[in-house]
Amino acid sequence: MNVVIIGASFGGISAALQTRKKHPQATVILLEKTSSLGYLPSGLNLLLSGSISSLDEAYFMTAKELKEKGIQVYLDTEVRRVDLKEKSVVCATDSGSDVYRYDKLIVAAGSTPYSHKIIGTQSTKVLTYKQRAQAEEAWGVIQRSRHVAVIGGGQAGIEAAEALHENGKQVTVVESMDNVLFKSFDSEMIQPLQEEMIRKGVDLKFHRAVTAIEEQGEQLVLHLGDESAVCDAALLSVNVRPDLAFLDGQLPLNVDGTLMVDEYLRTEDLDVFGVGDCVQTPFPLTGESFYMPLANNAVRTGMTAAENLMEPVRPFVGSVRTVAAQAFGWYIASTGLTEAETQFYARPVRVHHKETKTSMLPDAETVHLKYITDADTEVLLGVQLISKENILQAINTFALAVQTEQPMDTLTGKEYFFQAGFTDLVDVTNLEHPFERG
Amino acid sequence: MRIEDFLEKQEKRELQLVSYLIHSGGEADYAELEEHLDITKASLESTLDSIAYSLRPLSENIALDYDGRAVRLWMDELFSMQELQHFYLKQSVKVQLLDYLFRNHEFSLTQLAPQLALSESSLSRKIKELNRYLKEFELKIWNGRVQGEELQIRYFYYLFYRFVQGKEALKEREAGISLQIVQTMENYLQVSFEPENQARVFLWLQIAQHRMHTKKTVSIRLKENMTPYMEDKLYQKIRSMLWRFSSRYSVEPDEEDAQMLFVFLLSSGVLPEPFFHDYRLTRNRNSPAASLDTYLVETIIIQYGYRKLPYMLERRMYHTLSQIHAALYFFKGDLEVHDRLFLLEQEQKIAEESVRSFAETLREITVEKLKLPNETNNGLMEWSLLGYFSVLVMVTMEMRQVLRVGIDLKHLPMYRETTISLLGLLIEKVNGVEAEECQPDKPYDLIVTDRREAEPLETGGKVYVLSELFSPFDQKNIERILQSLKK
Repeated sequence: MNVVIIGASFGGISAALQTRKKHPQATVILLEKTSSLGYLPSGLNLLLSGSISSLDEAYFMTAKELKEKGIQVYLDTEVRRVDLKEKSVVCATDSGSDVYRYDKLIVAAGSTPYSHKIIGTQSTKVLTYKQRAQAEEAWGVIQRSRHVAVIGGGQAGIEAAEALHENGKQVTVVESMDNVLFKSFDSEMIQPLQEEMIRKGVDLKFHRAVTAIEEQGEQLVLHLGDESAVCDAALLSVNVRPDLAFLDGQLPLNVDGTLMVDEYLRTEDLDVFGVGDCVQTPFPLTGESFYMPLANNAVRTGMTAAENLMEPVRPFVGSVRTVAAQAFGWYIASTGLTEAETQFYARPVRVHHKETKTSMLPDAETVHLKYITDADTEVLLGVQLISKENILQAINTFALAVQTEQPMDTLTGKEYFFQAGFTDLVDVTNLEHPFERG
Repeated sequence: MRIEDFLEKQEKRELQLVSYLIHSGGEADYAELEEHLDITKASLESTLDSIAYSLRPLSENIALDYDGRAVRLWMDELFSMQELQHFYLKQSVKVQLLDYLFRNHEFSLTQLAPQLALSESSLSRKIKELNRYLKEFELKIWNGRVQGEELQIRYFYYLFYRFVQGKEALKEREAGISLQIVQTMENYLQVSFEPENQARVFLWLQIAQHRMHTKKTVSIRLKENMTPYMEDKLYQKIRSMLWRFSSRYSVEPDEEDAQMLFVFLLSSGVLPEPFFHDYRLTRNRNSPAASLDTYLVETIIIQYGYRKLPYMLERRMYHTLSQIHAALYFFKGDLEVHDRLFLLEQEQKIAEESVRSFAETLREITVEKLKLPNETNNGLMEWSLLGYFSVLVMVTMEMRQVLRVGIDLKHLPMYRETTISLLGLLIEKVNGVEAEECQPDKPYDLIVTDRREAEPLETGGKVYVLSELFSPFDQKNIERILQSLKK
């Protein structure tokens, strides 16, 4: 069996490894359009913040490791066309073109941040950095810039803003909604982080969408409706989108341009699978499917597709959109529904706020929690937390509880370890208890 | 643009013929039809043959029987002229062309001509004809695309799929997401749409979802017109909702999508009156449409000399006027589905002449206040007259203070009863007037009489002595007196 995988980032590599594990006899072919694979999309931020000293360190996997596992890797190989009838993939390479025949095809082509509505994004000072080559170019431009604007206040945007700030840049963040990270946090929960950003001199421009970017001499002018912002360079950190032009309309797409797949991640052609940022992900809380281009979804869909190659055995469980980050001195994490998002939830909800401590020691930090429950069933629907101390792992427990639709009772009564130096009297994830303290 | 403009000359004539037969009781002779359609006998015969051929797929619903002298129409009880019109429209090349352009965003003549079974030159000719009609919407088919302001494109296609092509033609992949937005909007705005209005919002959203992927769009006028509305609370809510909704998909929302949805909601009459009332209390009263609403309500109150309007009537007036004004402010062009002049005639039957002229005055004020260009081919402007007319009829009917008129014809022993009845009908043409033969001891606001020696009324009412029976002079004077009595 020939299994061809298009794209060698989180989704593609996970699919390749799982295919190798589940189908030891299969020929696994991994096609990657760039000259390297396994690059961490946040590599530039890591470099800017000094977490790594070179982009060479921003990899989670190498071609050598994959080849050692018997996976054929082809770099600098860009897919031009897929022929569903012939079951072949036509690629452009440095030396011309190659054709790869497949029995099963996994589309893990990833996504890119781009905007066809903002005029002027083709400027060399408008930077993207998801790929290694882009990050290298961006690094060069940023080194020469004093003032950098970040377009989009999502997780990538905030992490970039902090890295730029730490690098001594003057930073402006433009966000179209009322607060940063609006997809995962309600405004009051993210307020402390925003206050810290402002205190550190970051210029936050909310409720403004960039309509055009114009080069004026050495500078860039961002047009934000009736006002503008001047900077030396801009990082484009808007929503990412898949580019599936090579499928040439042969397979049905969703309205948002993602590949239409069933619960086993199969497309209309049952020998073709879609994973990662190319597909929507089921959101079990509302029964809908959304676009959640998260690394964890890419990894899990990649593995699930590999499981279902021969026959549909494991449906993809979906995502409750679990995210966590550390920025401007705050640890923040979220899973499931936010309060603002409950407008998409058909049933009445109850919103709770709570404060607890990270340990019983005098220097313990406060953890601010917000959680949403179904008003009738008391099932946990979503949790947001923010603290000065690293409590990010707690979100995984909450994510499991939300994913498995646990009622509050289960969380209240669940067992936890007690250790005065590491926990309060009750663990942060045992939500309902009388020992509240801020 | 009229809905018939999507049809070819021959198709229009065929429909015209069937329509004439319906209005003539289902039967007409050749001479009548030749005159009505302004064609020769030979052309009539070929038209009849052509209809017979066209109607073959509908043989169970409609049929024509003709014998060289007369034509008879048979129609199933459940079949209507509207269905016949749709049958013709669905086969129209112009309709198919516009439908194709919507679905594919762009085309080349070489690619499209064979699909429509046309030569490239015929297709070019159809496009030229369509462009003549699309001009009213400030749109043009050019370089394989429909070009113009994005709001106008969405507005045109909304009318197109609502009235011409049929909404069912769009029930495709956009349906699921559009339904979700409707439900989210109801939740988020705390509004509950009537089923028919929900379907209209749904259609608008389907079109919006489809157009969202268009790469090059123009929104210059929208941007300009929206300037006074940028801080509007309803707009801000719609923007926030749409942005949040879009953020869950791989689409790129923009300010204009929210603006266009806002414009649609304001101008289409889908918002329930109680919701609009709450919105009106918080909206920016200086925005062009809002200040015009207030100005016209006050103008109407002054014109009719009302001290104050009943609370609910005033609310209904604002609701209707705001739709007219938002549409005139933001949109260009209209698709005339019903015969506007016929509707105006029907409205006039129940209202006085002065109502029509006042409706025209209101329209003139609107043109001046909204600084609208004086265009002769803007159907929306023509329809606004009907809109003002309806508002005025609504107000005058509701505010009608019943005036009693006694008819006292003593010098007319012959045909007295018939004459009183006829005169009564003429007098009652003035809204809010009841006329009857004068009864002794009954108070009247006005007595119309043919006696010069009529006694002044104890109730203080007026007396009018007819100069001549049924004279337009008397009729005009009586109308004037009644109007002054109303004030």
